Amino acid sequence: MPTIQLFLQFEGDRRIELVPVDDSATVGDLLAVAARAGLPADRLDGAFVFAHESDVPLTPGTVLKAAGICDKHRVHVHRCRKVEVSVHFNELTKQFNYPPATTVGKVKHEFVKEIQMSPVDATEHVLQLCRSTDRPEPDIHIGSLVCGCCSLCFDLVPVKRIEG
Amino acid sequence: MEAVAILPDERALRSDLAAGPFQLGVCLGHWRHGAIEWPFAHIAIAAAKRPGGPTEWWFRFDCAGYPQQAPTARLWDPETNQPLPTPRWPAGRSRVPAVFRPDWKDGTCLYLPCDRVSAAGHENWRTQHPSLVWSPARGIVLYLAELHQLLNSSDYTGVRNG
Repeated sequence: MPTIQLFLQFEGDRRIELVPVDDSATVGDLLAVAARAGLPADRLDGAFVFAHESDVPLTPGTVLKAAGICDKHRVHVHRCRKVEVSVHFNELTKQFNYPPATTVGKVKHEFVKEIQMSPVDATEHVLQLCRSTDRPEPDIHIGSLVCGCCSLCFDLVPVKRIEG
Repeated sequence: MEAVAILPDERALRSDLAAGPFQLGVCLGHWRHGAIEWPFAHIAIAAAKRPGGPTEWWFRFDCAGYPQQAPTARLWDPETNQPLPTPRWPAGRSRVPAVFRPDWKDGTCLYLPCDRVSAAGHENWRTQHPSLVWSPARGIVLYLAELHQLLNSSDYTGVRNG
């Protein structure tokens, strides 16, 4: 049977797994693949499958190909339909609701647009998880940063020059 | 015919180059790899469009001891298979020239906390730039993502003598 490869991410885990699935795989098949790739059983129960940056989860039983998911596409498995995201910069705070298959890069893009930061300045800032020094890469799905809850908090921080 | 044994560090690098994080970057057009002549791996990083600037920059990574040891990288000219001459290095306003420094170790490595050679003796970077400190779990993508970010920032202006 022909297979395709998908970039899989899931709840609370930053790994990006490149997994082979049958050409005719369904949403249920993909959940089984996620379990084999390391998604714990307690995060599988009630989990949805999202296409990359899609607002709504795929209906259970859907054939991935019929939903437009092809070779080298990205998918995400998560129990939250939406993640409530707060972003802080100086005195400004904005809140958004995004599906888990939204990238950190898109959150930053929307935030800098909201606060009218120039594109030039925006490339000199990155998102950092609140109360940490952790700066997730822009291509990471936000769902991989949250587990057991559906909210996330970032600070927009300047990129420092390497010195010393 | 004699079988050639692949050492554990080369096997680990090849495995990471085939894995999701690196391959996602390939699909997104962020980077691609060229020849692997152990312990060296040649990788190109896509750069923002600048007048006279290339669409990608090539680096030669020395990956001996990977992933327990961080790689060390230098700019590379794939045409001549030699180090890229300094006048053809990337230019920038502040952050870019701080990384691409011909005066640091004679230009043989990049001034980054995730570079094996540069990290030695820079304990302060662990607290100043914790997100750039080498992590075997994140692997070579950590280094590549930082270079991609730099070469697509507003700080990057193209080629030194472009």
